[in-house]
Amino acid sequence: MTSSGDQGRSLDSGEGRQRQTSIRPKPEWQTNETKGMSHKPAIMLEGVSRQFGKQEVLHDINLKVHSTEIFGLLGPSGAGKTTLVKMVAGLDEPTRGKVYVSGVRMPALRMLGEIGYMAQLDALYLELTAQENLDFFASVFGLRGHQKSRRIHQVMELVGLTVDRGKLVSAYSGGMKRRLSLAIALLHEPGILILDEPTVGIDPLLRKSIWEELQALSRQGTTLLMTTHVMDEAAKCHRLGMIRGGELIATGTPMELISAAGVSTLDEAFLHYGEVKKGPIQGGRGSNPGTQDERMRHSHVHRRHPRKGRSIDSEVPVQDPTKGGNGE
Amino acid sequence: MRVRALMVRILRQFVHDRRTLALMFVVPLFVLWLVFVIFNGNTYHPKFAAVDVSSPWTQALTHQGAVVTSYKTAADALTALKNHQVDALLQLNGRVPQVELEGSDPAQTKGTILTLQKALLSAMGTQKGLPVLQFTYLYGGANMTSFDNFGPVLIGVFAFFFVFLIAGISFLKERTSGTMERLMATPLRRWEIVLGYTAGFGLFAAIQACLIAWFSVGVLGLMMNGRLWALLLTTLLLSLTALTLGTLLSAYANTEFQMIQFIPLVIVPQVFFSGLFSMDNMAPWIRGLSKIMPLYYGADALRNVMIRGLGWRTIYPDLLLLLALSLLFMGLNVLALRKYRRI
Ligand SMILES: Nc1ncnc2c1ncn2[C@@H]1O[C@H](COP(=O)(O)OP(=O)(O)OP(=O)(O)O)[C@@H](O)[C@H]1O
Ligand SMILES: [Mg+2]
Repeated sequence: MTSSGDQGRSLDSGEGRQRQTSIRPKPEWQTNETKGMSHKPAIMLEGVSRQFGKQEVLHDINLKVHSTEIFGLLGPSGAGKTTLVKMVAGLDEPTRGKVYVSGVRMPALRMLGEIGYMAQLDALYLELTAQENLDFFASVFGLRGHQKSRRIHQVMELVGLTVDRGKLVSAYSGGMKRRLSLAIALLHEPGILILDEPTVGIDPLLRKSIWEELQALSRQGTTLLMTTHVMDEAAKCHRLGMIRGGELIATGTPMELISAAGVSTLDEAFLHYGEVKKGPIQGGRGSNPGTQDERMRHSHVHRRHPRKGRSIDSEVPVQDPTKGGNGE
Repeated sequence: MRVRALMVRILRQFVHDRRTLALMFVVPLFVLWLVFVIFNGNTYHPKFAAVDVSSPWTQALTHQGAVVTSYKTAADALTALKNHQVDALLQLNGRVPQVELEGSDPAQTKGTILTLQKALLSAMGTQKGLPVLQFTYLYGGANMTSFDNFGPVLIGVFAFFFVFLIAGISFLKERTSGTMERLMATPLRRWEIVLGYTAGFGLFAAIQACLIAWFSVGVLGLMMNGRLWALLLTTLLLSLTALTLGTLLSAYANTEFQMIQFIPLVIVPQVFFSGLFSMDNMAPWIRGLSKIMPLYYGADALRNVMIRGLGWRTIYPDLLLLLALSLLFMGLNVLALRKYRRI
C-alpha cells in the first residue's frame, strides 16, 4: 500500500504509467458538515429492514460508517449487500428503520448530488462513446466548461481509459465498462462514494492503482462504502461489515474480526461468524493491527446471531450462492 | 440545465444510431410515396358492353369517360362480362335501359353506376331540353383524388406511429438497461427526465413533421388549401402526443416486444377511428370511442387545414386538446417514475 505521506497522489501502476491527479479542493459541504459535525457518522442505518413481498431481505440492520472511512460489506451472494447500499444511495427505501447520510434522512434529493454511486450492473449508454457518457453524467451533476473537461480527463486517466475514450461503449470489454462506471461515480467528486463490487473484472494491476486512488480519496475526506466478494480486497477496508442472510453479523476492522474469532485469516473469520449461533454480543477494541490509521478508534467487533442458525458447509462461503441467501 | 444535458444526450444517441434515424425520417416518406402511387393512379374508367344501343347513349357514356364496346349479341356481351373484360352490360329493352353489373368489387360497381347515371342525365337533358345539372364544390374539387382525401390522415398516422414507437422503445431501454435507475441516483428530478425526453425527441419529431409535410405537399402534390404553419403545428402537436403517450406506456412494458404489443392495442384502433374509413355508418357508441383518441383530433385538424383550407379558428379546439393530452401524459409519466424513486 502507498505510504500515507504520498499526498501528491501520483499513482504508479507498476508499468511506469504515471497518473497525475491534482489535489482537489474539498467540496463545500464536506468541510462544513463533516468537520463541523464530526460526531455525526457519514452513513447511519437504524433498525433497517427491507422486505420484498414476504421475503425479508434485510433484517434490523444497525450500522454507522464514519467520515473518511473505507467500509466494506462482505457477504455471500444474495446476502442483501446490494439492497443495503441502494438504500444508502437513495434508490430504495427501508420497509422499517431509517437511513441517514451526513445526518440527512434518505432518500433526499439534495443528498444525491453528494453521493457517487457505482451500481453492480453497469448502467451505461452503449450507443454513446465513453466520453459522451461522462459528458452527460458530468452535466447532470452540474459540472460545466473547463471544470467538466478537467474532471473527465482526470477520471479517465485514473481508470486507464484515456486512449479508448472515443470508442462506443458497446465496443468496450466487460472490465472497461466496469472502469467507466467507476469513473462516472468519481466524476463529481462526491463526499460519499458507494461502490457495489467495484473491481469485478478489473485486472490486478489496475485494481491496485484503483485501490490506491480510493485510499487517497479517503485520506482527502471521502467516505467509502463498498461491497465485495473478494477477501484480499476486504482486508484493505478500514472496517468491515459481515452480512449474511440479511443480517449484519459482525463489524470491525479486519484484524479485529480475525482476532476476535480466534482465527488467522479473514476467510476463516467469515466462516466463524457465519457459524456462531449463540454467545454474547462482543463489543470491544481489538488490538491495534497497526496497518490502519486513526479511524480505528471507531472500530469494535460487533457480533450478531443469525436469526435462524444457518449451517455453513462450504469452504468458500462467499462464493456459494446457495448459502446464506434468503431462500426460506 | 440538466434537461439540456438529457436533450444533448438523446441527440447524440440518435446521431450514433443511423438506422433509427432512417426509420424516423425516411420510412414515413417511403410509405407515403407507396400509398400515393397506389391510390393516385388515374381515375377509374368503367368499361361497358353495349348491345344494340343507340349512339346518343354511347356518346354520353364516352363523354363521361367510360369505354364502350358494342357487341352483336347479348350472349357475346355476357361472356365478356363473365370474363371480366367489362364492368357492365347495357341493353335497351325497348325504351327501358337494362344494366347487368359485374358486381364483385363494390368500389368499381359504384363507379360504374355513377358514370351511367351521369350519362343518363345528360342524354335525357339534351333530348328533352331539360336543364343540365351544374356541380360546384365547397371544398375539394372535381379533380380531388382519394389520395387527397386520406393523405392528411396518413400524415397524421405516420407522424404518430413512428414517434410513438421510437420514443417508447428508447424510454423502455433506459429502464431495461439500468440507466434509469442510475439516473435516479443523480440529482435529476423526475419531471426533468420526462421533460428532457420530450424535448429531445420533440426535436426529432419536429424535423420529421417538416419532412413529411414538405414531401407530401411539395413532392407528392397532395391537396393543400390551408396554411403551411397550421399543417406543421398540427403534425408537431400530434407527434408530441405520440411521444408522451409512448414514453408513458413504456412504463407498462418490460421488453421491447411488449412495447410492440401496444401497436394493435393503441395504434390500430386509432387508425380505424381517424377518418381513414367513414365513421358515418358506425353505431353511435362506437363513434364515441373516437373522442378519446388523439389521432382523431389530429386527423380532423389536418383535413380541415389541407382539404378545406381552414385555419386557426376551426382547428384550435383540436390542437388545444392534443396539447392537453400531451401534458396529461407527461404528468402521468412523472408519477409513473415514482416506481424508481419516491422523491
Ligand atoms: N427488487 C427485488 N424484488 C424481489 N427480491 C429482491 C429484489 N432485489 C433483491 N431481491 C432479493 O434480495 C436478496 C438480496 O439481494 P441482493 O441483490 O441485495 O444480494 P447481494 O448481497 O447484493 O448479492 P450479490 O453478491 O450476488 O450481488 C436476494 O434474495 C434477492 O432475490
Ligand atoms: Mg449485489
